[in-house]
Amino acid sequence: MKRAFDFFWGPADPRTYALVRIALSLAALANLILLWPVRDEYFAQGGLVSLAAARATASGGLCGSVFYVVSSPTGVTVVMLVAAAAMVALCAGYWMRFSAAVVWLWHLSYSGRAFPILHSWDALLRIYSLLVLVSPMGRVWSVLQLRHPRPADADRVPVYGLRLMQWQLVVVYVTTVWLKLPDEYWRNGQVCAYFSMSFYSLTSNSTFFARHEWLSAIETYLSLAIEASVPWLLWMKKTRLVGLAAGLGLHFAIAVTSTLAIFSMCMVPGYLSFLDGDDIDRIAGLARARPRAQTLVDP
Amino acid sequence: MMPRGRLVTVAKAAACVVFAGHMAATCTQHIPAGSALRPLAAPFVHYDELTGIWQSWNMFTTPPYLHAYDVDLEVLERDGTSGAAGPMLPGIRRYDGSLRAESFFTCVVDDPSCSAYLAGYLDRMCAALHTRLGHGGQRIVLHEVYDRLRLLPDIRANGVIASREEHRSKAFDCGG
Repeated sequence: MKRAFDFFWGPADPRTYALVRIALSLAALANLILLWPVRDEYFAQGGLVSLAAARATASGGLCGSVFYVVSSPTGVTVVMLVAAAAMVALCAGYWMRFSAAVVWLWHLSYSGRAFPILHSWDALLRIYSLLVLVSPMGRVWSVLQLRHPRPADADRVPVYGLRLMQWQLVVVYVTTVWLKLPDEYWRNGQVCAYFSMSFYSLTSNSTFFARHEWLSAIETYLSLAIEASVPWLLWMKKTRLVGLAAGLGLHFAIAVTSTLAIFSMCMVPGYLSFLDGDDIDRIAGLARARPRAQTLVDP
Repeated sequence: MMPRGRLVTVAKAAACVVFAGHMAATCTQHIPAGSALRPLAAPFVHYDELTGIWQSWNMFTTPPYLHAYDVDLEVLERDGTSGAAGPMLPGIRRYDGSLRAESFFTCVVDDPSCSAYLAGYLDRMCAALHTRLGHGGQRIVLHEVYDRLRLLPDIRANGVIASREEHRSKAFDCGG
């Protein structure tokens, strides 16, 4: 019983929450910037997505959306500007709880308004913005701390929010591996070759991986191995940085070779939720050590 | 009266139950529909909707099938003349090639579960055509062009990545 209690109420480094908050805000802002030019298409009356159809899809359930009430192009623009301001404020650590609530409502609202255009990263943003909203905020790495630092800023906070974020990432990977494993193209290692020539790829006219299928097989199996092992590598302290490097490496590769960079960005908050104070110190130490090493070899 | 420390412990214990429930809600929605354990997801459906944690992680569970995708609109007038138009609204603009637009059109044209969105789209497109052309009564067809990826041995054989397929929806009557 005590272990279960400590699992949720044990102490956590507030910097981890700050990292997740900042990463989520940046990913949400990037997604909003991508949606900005097409806001009338998807959220305004007169665009592609019928409001009546969105309401019909949501009827009988509890899905809500600001866009069920606000449907004029001007109204949509105002909602998006408010959401963008909230993301900037959340990133800066200003009016954090209120900003987090607005960011969560924005993600609920556009998801409820335009079901047919949603992708996996929209779900990540929606879920992690809820988890940030209910998590301890603290003042670490915020404008408030910068202006008025207090000794209590570094005090430990309850870990429950991070536990829920970690669980979410485990569910993402366990589910996707469960679904991918039975597929014959994942099993024969051809998925990456097909992906490289699909419209998701930035080099879709290249037949390189089709001509070197063994490379596609290595890439396919490696990505499956990473997806299957990342939750456990991140969970264990000894292997956490390996898990972080493997997972972020996979998503960096996806970001630079495909049109799915936004998806990679939205995965980052989940990864950061696994870091504890020691990990953050180690990463900060590595970052500090690098320029010093350069100085030693420079003439 | 219960001492404050005790109250806090009780509140935290209750929160643990909520957290465990949230974790169960996250998990149970992924139980396959045909599984005998699927009813475990039912108590959490409204919680998932209310909080926005409904989710599906079936991205790339099969390889992508398309090398390229395009869609336009064929507008058939009552007098037998026809023309092409962009399918994007507002403004009857060309298909913009984005992932979101591709998701929208493949949903409304190819997925019966999106029929409500198709009906709404057609209403609006007909209204937009009426405004632009000054009259109604057109019939419209969504014309999709797929470049479907060929099998790897076939691509290696001659370097041709995809084969073109075209699909036309049934003609929708704008009325009036």
